[in-house]
Amino acid sequence: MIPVPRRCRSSILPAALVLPVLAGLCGCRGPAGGDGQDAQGRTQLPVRVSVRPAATAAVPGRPLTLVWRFVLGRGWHLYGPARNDSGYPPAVQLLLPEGWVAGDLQWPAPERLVLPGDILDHVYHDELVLLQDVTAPAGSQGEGADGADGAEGGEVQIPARIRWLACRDMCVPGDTTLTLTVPVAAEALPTDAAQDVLAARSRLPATPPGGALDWTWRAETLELVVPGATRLTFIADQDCGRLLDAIADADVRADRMSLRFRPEPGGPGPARGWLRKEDSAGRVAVYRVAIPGPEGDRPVNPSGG
Amino acid sequence: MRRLSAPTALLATVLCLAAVAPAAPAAAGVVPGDEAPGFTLQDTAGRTHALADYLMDGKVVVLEWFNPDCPFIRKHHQKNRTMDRTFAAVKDSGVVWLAVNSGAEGKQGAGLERNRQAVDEFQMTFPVLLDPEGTVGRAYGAKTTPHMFIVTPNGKVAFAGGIDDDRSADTLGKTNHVAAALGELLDGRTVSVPESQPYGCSVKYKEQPAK
Repeated sequence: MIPVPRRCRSSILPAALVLPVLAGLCGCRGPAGGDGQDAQGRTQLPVRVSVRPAATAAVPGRPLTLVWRFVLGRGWHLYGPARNDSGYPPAVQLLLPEGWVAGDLQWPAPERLVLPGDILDHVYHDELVLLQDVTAPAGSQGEGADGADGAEGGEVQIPARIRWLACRDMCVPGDTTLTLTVPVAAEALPTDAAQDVLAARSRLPATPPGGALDWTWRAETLELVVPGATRLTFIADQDCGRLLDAIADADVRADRMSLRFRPEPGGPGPARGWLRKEDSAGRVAVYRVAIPGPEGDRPVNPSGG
Repeated sequence: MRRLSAPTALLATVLCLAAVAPAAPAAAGVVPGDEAPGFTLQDTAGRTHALADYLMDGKVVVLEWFNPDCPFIRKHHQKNRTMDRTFAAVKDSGVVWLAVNSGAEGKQGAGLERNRQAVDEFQMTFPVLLDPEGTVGRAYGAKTTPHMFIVTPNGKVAFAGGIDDDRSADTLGKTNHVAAALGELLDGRTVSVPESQPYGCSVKYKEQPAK
């Protein structure tokens, strides 16, 4: 019989009970009697975090997809891994057993949020689902129920620390730890989280197909043309070259946009990030773009002003 | 030929220059090298502070955008005493440190009473100036709390950005950019890192009517 892994959940106190000063662990459940859900069934807590594996076990040498789910209370947002004026994105730190490897978190495109004072952030509302692959080394079997190594049908414990910043009219940092118990087996079946994986993968950005995008540098301006688009939105990565005015330039109702970059010693750009295209039928496609600057590709310090 | 009167000529010149001046980019704010926007604001004790007065006295002025309820401000004022320690190291060297709260009335951390409490709560050794209309904040392009600017006695912005590079709400970055910049300025040197990316909570500006 293939063992079914336990679900791992963590939740934090309602915003009203969390002092802004608290940046420590918040691993407590909410008030008795429920999640404090609103009329639409959405939680009133700032953030609830859970993780589920997409298969019943880790098969050595094969990636096991973890589904990280952040459910947000009404009006709260989390930050995307983009050039934001404020906030910081969620981070997951896994303490992996020897030989295991973890892939990067896979992010859907965030949405623009422009606040008074020309503050531009890229955020997620309602829910954020991140995928992450972990892989047990070939030949591993995990620890047996009696703690002895090498026992068949063993499992491993993977502690995880998850940190985030949730904001609404105030900001509340979140920090929680949980431990994933992952069986290791020669075979595995999909769990019900496998459906979530399919849904999340459909929201991941794609590489633009041939002809979908054309671009030209004119001095420090990158001109993008996307045939068929009626609206284009560019969301810059943290290591994208600095735009002069992302609020004005990076969201246009047209099939082309002109992104003005700040002059830099090594030349403007590169342009790295998400490009969201909407067409006249309301269909949306999201691409990952990585366009080198006119002087070629160069590293950009994400901490640079 | 008819001559224009002096006031009319001046008005005509201003209108003409406005017509030919390039449109300002949508995003306001200053970068290092710019003239620092002047201001006159009151602090929580009712005292008036004018940038021009400090500059005329030959002071280096540090501006810190502030919101007492922002976890990043608490990181630097409570968990760590970054701002207080950075100022203490230079306060006898002709440096003035001013915290500015550009939060609108009714928004998080804004208002006279809350900031008066914060001065005591954080045992601040420098004043908090109130800018509820957000005029000064917008002129500087302050985006976050904290967001730091250093103005030299000649009225130029010498530094703009984050106090360090750790964008979290609890740990400090390896380099305190403001301390480093102040050290270089007081030594008569050019600031080697005049910009860093600011981080923190968004400044809680007043909504402006749509144009």
